[in-house]
Amino acid sequence: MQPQEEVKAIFKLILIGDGGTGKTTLVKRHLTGEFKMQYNATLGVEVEQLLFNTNRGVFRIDVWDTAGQERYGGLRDGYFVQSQCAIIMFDVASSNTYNNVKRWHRDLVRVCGNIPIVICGNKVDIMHKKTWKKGVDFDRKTNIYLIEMSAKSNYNVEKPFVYLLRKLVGDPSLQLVQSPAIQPPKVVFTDEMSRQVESLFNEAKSKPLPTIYDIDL
Amino acid sequence: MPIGSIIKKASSFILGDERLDRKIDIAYEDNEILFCKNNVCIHPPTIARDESDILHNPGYLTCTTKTFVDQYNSAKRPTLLLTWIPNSSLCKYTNLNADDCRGQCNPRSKSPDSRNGYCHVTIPQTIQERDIREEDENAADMQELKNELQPLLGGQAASIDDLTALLKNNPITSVNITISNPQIENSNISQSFNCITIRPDSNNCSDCTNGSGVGDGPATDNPKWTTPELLAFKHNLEFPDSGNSTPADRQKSAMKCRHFSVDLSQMRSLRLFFNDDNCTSGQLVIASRESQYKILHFHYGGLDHLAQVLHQWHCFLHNITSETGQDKFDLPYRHFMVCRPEVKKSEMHPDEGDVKKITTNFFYGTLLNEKGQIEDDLLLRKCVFFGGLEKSLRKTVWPFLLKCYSFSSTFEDRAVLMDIKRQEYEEITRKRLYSMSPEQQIHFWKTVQIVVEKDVVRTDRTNPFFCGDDNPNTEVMKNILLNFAVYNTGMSYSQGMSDLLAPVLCEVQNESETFWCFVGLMQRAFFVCTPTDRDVDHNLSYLRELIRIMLPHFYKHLEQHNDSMELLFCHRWLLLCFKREFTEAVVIRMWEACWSNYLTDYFHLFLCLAIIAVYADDVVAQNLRPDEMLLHFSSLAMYMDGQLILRKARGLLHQYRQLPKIPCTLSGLCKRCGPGMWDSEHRPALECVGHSDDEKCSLSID
Repeated sequence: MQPQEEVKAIFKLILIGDGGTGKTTLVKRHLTGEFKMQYNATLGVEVEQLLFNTNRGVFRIDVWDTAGQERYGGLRDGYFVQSQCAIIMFDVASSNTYNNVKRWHRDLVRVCGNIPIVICGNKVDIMHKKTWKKGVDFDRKTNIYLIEMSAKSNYNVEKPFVYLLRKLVGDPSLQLVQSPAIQPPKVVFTDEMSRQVESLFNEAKSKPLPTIYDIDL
Repeated sequence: MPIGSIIKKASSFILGDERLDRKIDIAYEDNEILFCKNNVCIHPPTIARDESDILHNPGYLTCTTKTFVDQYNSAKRPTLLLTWIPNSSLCKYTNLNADDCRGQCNPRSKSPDSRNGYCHVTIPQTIQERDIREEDENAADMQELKNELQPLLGGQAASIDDLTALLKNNPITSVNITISNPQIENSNISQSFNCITIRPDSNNCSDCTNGSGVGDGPATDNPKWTTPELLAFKHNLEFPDSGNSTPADRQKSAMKCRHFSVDLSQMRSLRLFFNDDNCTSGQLVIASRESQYKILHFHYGGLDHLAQVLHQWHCFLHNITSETGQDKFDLPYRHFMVCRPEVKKSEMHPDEGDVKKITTNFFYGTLLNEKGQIEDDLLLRKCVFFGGLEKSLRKTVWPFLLKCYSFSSTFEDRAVLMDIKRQEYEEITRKRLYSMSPEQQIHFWKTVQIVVEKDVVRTDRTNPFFCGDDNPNTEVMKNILLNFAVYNTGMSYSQGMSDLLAPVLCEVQNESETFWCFVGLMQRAFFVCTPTDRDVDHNLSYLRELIRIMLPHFYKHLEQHNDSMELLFCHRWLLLCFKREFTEAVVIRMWEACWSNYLTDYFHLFLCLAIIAVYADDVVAQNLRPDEMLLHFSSLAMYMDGQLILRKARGLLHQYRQLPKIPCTLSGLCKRCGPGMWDSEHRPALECVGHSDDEKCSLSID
């Protein structure tokens, strides 16, 4: 069910990260009536409009789903310009995508400055325990939020957007009052698996950032 | 960012000029009734200041397939004929015409609640409503007619409620969705109506190549102006007396009656506006090329079925499979707009239409000599550029266009070369599998193999050649991409390459031959942008200059917005060579024209220019920002008329080459294609437009 109320504000969100990390899947999961097991690789940029019904009203986020591969130094600036928030996506099963998060973050901050950012580790439905023994220290910086998710199993798919809306609207208690029209999950994610990931994640938070992320699965 | 919703527009073309070769499921016959509905209402064109002014004229609406024969060149094309007959003209002649009409009707195509015997009735005289009451009221047909009129009388309150809702500016749905999935979003009706406002200058209207639109007007401030009738009045539009309509297929002189009949392919646009959550009631607004409107009101449902019929017809004409149609139809938010852009004869290349497609007989009988050499490669390239290739010739001719074979090679030369190339390909495979050191293997796996394997499984899976699990062709595609990364370590692999390789593999099919065609494609054609800064920037800078000199109005629009010069909406066009913008048959036709290297090395940029020329009117008229432009052009994907774009692009190229003076920054556009039959290459006067200090001007080189 789509909200009937007037949209109170529109925000531009830039969605970046290496190719094949599941960026487009994250966006499509929020669109009513459209789901495929895999989407074509994004080239250039594709804009999707997502609506969120919250206790503070209806907000629209224009998600700029960008090409992940190759450095487009000059081109990418055009995508970033006037972004109000960002998601940097990496694949927990691929070390290269994680190692590039810092580079994505550097490029993003160079153009956009200090905007709210969520760093998402996607594909945790694969459940590789060793992944989270390595830690990151991004969560200690202002306006950066680290989260693990599985877009295919709908695990935590709303959290990045809720976090960003809270920052943008300036209300830490903002809540979704109506679940987004999310497609049913393709992979079942049990409560036990969720607790397991939370436990490993909390353990990883206290570890320093390693020089290189060297585990591939 | 200002608060306000952007109504996402998806243009579709109900009626087209050409039928593509491939067959699709739906088949239409001439004179087939696709849609019919009673009690479709036309309101007299009076100024409705309050409810009591609305008068309802119910009638019978049909939508029928026709084959239209152009009177100038006798070309045939399918079209839809939409006809509305007022109820007041039906009654008296029911008995006389029933037999004739019944014979023409196709019961399977009609709505369940439709009436028999009222299709294609010719009305010889005008009938006044008062005459109906004088007829024998006991007649069975009269009683049936009364029963149909009763809901209208009872529905008076309902229609008044509808108007009240309009006048109070309540949210009204103006999107189209499938009835089986009625999840919709309401939007303010005034926003939608602004989109169909036309320019007051009627002289320019015939040149409109896209749905017309102007900036927001005072209509948003006055709820009384939100009805279609009020909108028409506001812009001094007159509703023609239906008796004056002159549809192309009518043989008889104009009738003095309120009969309304139009060939939809001659209209400029159709818009559907929905008044209820189920998207069944609302209005169909038809705009003619002469800036006149007809508004048909659906007070008792049926509009959803009409939208479905129009959509299916669109899929049929443009060879979009049912699957694709279903995908589009399931989208939750879609503004259904129909428009039909055109390219005038004066805008086309003078050779357009005169050069035929290369057939098997022509290729082997004329273009190839007895040794298998192509003596006149210019003729081959010209024919590919204008007329295209027969599908069965692709496997044979593409290697020439992609520089695998020279035009002067003989049958024997090519056989020897292909054997050498096959061995070289096998050597590359062995090197990839067995000759890399462990460190090299790990690096290759992390940087190339992981990405290739992700992309291959999500490339063209709807193509029967690649669909299903464990498809061997998918494995072949992967091998070719991995081997290319070994063969050309500088270029390696980047996303998008699988999209370019898939159609080539589909046509050529042999793994080794496909690999070498792919090498030619990636390494030698300017047409392909590898997604690196240098290539894309190079093409974008050329494109900006082309827009500046060929489409100054659009360029002026770009200058008014920050960041517009990045041309974000073109990036996907360039990176994927239009692969996700048009159906595959059209895409391949475009690729062949680019590969022919006829008259320019950068025909793909003229294709971009053509898309902008044909579809950017709304962008300028509504002063869209960069992100809105991106949405506008993205929503056109798979709905643009590719054959039209090709004709427009060839015309633009012709115009460009006729310019006596060009900017020095564009001097590289037509170099490698060669002089053709002339002694010199394309050499217009150059005008220096200024450079940064580290750049040399082409003028100094000449």
